Amino acid sequence: MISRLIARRLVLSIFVILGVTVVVFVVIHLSGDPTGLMLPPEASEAEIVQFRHQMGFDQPLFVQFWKFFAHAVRGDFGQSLQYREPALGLVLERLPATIQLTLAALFVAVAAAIPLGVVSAVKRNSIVDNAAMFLALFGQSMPIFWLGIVLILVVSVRWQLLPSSGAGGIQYLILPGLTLGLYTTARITRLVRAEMLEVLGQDYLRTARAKGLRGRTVVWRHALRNAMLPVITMIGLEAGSMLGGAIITETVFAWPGVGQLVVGAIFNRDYPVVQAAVFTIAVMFVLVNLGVDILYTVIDPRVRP
Amino acid sequence: MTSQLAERAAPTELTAVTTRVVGWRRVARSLGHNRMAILGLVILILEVAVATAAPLVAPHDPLLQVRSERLLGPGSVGQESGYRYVLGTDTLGRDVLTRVIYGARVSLAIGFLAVAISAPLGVVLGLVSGYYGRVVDDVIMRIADIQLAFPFILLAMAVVAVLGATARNIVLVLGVSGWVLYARVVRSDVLSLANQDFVAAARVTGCRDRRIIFRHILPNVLSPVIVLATFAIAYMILLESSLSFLGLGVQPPTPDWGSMLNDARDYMATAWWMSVFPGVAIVLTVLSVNFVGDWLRDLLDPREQVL
Amino acid sequence: MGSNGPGSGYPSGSHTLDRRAFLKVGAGLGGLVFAGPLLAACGGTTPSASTGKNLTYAYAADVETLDPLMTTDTTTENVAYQMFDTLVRMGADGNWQGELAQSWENPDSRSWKFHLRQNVKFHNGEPFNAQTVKFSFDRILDPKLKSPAAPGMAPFDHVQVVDDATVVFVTKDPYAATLAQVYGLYIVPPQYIGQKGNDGFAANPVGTGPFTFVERQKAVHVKMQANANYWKGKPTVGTLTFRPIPEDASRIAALQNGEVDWIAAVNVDRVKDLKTNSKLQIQSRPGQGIYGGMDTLKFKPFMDKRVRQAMNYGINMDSIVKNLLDGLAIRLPSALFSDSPGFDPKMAPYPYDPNKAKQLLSDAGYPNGFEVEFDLPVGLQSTQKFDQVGQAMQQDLAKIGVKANIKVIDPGTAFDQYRAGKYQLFLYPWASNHEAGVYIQTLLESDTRGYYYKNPQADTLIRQYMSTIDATQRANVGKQMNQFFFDDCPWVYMYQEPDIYGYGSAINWKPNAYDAYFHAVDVKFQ
Repeated sequence: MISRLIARRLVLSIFVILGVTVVVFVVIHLSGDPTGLMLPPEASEAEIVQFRHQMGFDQPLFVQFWKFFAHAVRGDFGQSLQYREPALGLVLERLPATIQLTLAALFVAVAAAIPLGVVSAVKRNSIVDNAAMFLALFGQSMPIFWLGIVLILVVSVRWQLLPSSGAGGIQYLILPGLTLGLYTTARITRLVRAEMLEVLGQDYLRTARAKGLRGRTVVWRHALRNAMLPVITMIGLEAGSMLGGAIITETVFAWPGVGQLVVGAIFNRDYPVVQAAVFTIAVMFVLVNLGVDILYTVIDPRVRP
Repeated sequence: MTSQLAERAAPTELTAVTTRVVGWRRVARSLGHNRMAILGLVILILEVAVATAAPLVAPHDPLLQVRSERLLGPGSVGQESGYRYVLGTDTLGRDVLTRVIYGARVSLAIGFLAVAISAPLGVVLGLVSGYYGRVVDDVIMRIADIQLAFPFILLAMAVVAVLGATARNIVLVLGVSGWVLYARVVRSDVLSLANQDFVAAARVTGCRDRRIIFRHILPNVLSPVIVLATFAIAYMILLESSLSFLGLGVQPPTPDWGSMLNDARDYMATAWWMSVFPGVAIVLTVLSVNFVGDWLRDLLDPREQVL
Repeated sequence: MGSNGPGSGYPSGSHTLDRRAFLKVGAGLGGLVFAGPLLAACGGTTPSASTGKNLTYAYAADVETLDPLMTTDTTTENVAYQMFDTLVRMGADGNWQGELAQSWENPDSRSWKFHLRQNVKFHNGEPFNAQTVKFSFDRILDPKLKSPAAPGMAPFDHVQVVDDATVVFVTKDPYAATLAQVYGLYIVPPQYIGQKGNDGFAANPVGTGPFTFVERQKAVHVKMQANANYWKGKPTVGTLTFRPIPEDASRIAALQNGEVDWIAAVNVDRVKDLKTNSKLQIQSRPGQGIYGGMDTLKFKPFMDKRVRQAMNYGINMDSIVKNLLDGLAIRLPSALFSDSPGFDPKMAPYPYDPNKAKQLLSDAGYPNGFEVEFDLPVGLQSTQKFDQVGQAMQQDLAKIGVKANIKVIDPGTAFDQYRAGKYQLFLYPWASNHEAGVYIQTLLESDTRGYYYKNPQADTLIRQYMSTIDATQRANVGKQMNQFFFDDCPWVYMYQEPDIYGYGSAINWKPNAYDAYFHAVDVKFQ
């Protein structure tokens, strides 16, 4: 069953990745070419025309796409216009840093949110619950760059506890991880709490309790498990969007990930890098989704694959 | 979602129980018990009122720059103009309080409208996807995947580059990009619900698909949607702030909380009032919206009706 | 969600995601997360211990490539200059000084003969000589490389090797800005490139400069080390590290923390509070020139000189400079920048006179003003404050009846639109490097671009300015030209914004008013 699921999803995934590639190609070419950004400012009109021709920017979109595609299927996404290196290599080089950041953020989020959400639900309307909910709300009402800068100003400049930016040892990962993860933490906390409240009220749980099972068993083994599905949906979605969207965190903290690379490439019209990056992100996204779906069927067999 | 009591009832009586029947007296009573929700509603109504009556309420003109009175702290009085700046001035010498008030118009509108587009869109697609399954489900989910795998800023840049960075286009971009979350959550709920006996029973008695979807399934999947939507309003306001960070947000000089926060980025150490006050406005809005959302969810939860 | 149907009992435990499994997964993820940075810290070579101080400097962007002939990006060049030399360099007094060239002269108006320094070696031991100069020049123009720096060499016809120590640059027409372009010609080692290829050269660059390459981690740092055999003598700085920190607030925080010793692009509004920090020095130099472009060819109001002058009278540029830029910008009365030959510091800019502006507008047929689109190219990380200055200008213009609608555009789109002639009123920056006259030619001469302004009189003056090699004569022509532009007003004249640097109090260095590039070899410690 699972293998059939995987096979079918893989086929569909190829369609997704292809779709993304085409759409990105069209969109980024529509927004202009990088000639003006690459040539020195004193270049004359004639030189601009010549450069565009040399680089093939003046060819019709269809031709450019075909050229790109023919190479892409062989793994060659072309050379970065800005960095003069193979585009895919650049992306793959920077990917681990972003994955690291994403995992750190998710780790923080899940490790904090699930226990917090469960406790809040179990001890509904207690001080813990109210405090946790207030904190969650604050965590969700701050823009990432604001949070990041505040953390830098307070933790790094004021208290001198951690470095303000850059990469190296684990001390560089803490502030960016917290920044990226806070929003998700808050979100997941609330969702866990909401789902747990739903499930905890179920009759069958009352039955279980009536049968004499201990409260904690009830909570952990049954309630939590059934509350997990939407939570896993959300974690999967958050992971997917984080991968492509740690941009702001990476910029504020000078974290050498793909997010920074992609934004720079988009603004600099570095087509090959944008294509390579979007392709890679799409692949990762599809894989994460697949994993989430498999986890679904493992947890709740009633869900149709 | 449905209790055992409801499930044991005859199929025809299911409609009465699982349909959302919410009388106004119930609403008022439920609200009365929930102080936080009242506070939230009051704040929101106040915000909307202030935003609407901005020209009457605000002390100054939000666009008026008094260049020599820039970056003054809260409570300062301008030397040249004699104006009193309750919350200080920004980098162009404009009154922060006035801009926060006027900013409410743009920010609230963007937040609500973006959700008003994305939530219904997502819910409908999620319902259809979960209920009909198979091909329809695959197609919708693939489109969702394609869209999610698409970096948001690329989408934003495309719209902005081609159509211009107006508030309307920003709402469009935010709205269109937001439907997937609702669709997926609704879909996963529908998938487990649709298998259950009461649905089969409804089908057997001849209920048409649409009726089943909208009268039986929808009310039961709304709770998480409402929770998500309330967060989304705030998230949309924050997302607009991120767009400003990338230079794609609301155009200057229009005041807007998100872009005010972004403008204040370089001044956080020296002119904290530029970012704190719009930030407080956002937090207040988020809190209020959430209290109201919590109350709504409690109100609409079918289990509570039956018991 | 997830509730069970009646009668099915609660689910069996065979597929449970129980607590233990969850913790196992969590631990695994956590391990991955923490292992990563530890591994990263193990990578990279450690430079051999060097006596001398360390300097870490930060810019807002990362280097694009370590091959200096393949870039036009300022930050990239600010790293290239540490490892590579050029024939000449702009001195602190505004005169060209010889680097790899000891002296030069003009045998005729199109030839520039350079006498090269002897006994200079590249980091790999290869000798520097005239052939390497010619090689470097030819390499930029190599069509296979498609270097974006090629247009910079356009004024040159060819480079001729006379002997090992003498080389002649021949220009197509007499070109006054030759030395400025030569300042951008980094000398690279032919043998080394022959051996390693272009990619190998970019991965491990070798030049004649004061620092040798140690390692690079993209978007993290570039590490360099003092060249003990540098022809000027070993630099004071022992280990030189470049770090990109895009976010302004983070970059300043890093300076305050001591994580970096020197930063560029400090926001004007931070100067006051940073100056109170006794551990820091803040210095500025005249930076980019900003002007307000007007479409004098297609946008009807701007086709009339009176309207253009009204635009200049109607904007209180002094107040903008004083208030928004803390008085640190240099007001430009006309097109030339403050370090260009022919710039007259005594020339008075257009005074702020809104009544005169309104009068001129009404004379030209616009008594009620007009509406215009005002485009501001705003980069992702830009300290130019275009958005603020633009809004300030908008307010002033409103007072004389001109309704300017602001549109913020990202630089990529901005250039395409600019080129297509779509702008009406726009802000535009230009680097003040080397020879500012180059931009006059590009922006105001009809042939070169001519998107927004075409004037045959201007063309004559410009061509004269760009081809007069004698310095005094050139200054005179420049003065004339500047006066012409003052009258004809193709632009709203604005200012040169300040390039502000922040660095530690132990550093003995001052920015060069005439040169935008950072040369770490100049840094000493007190």
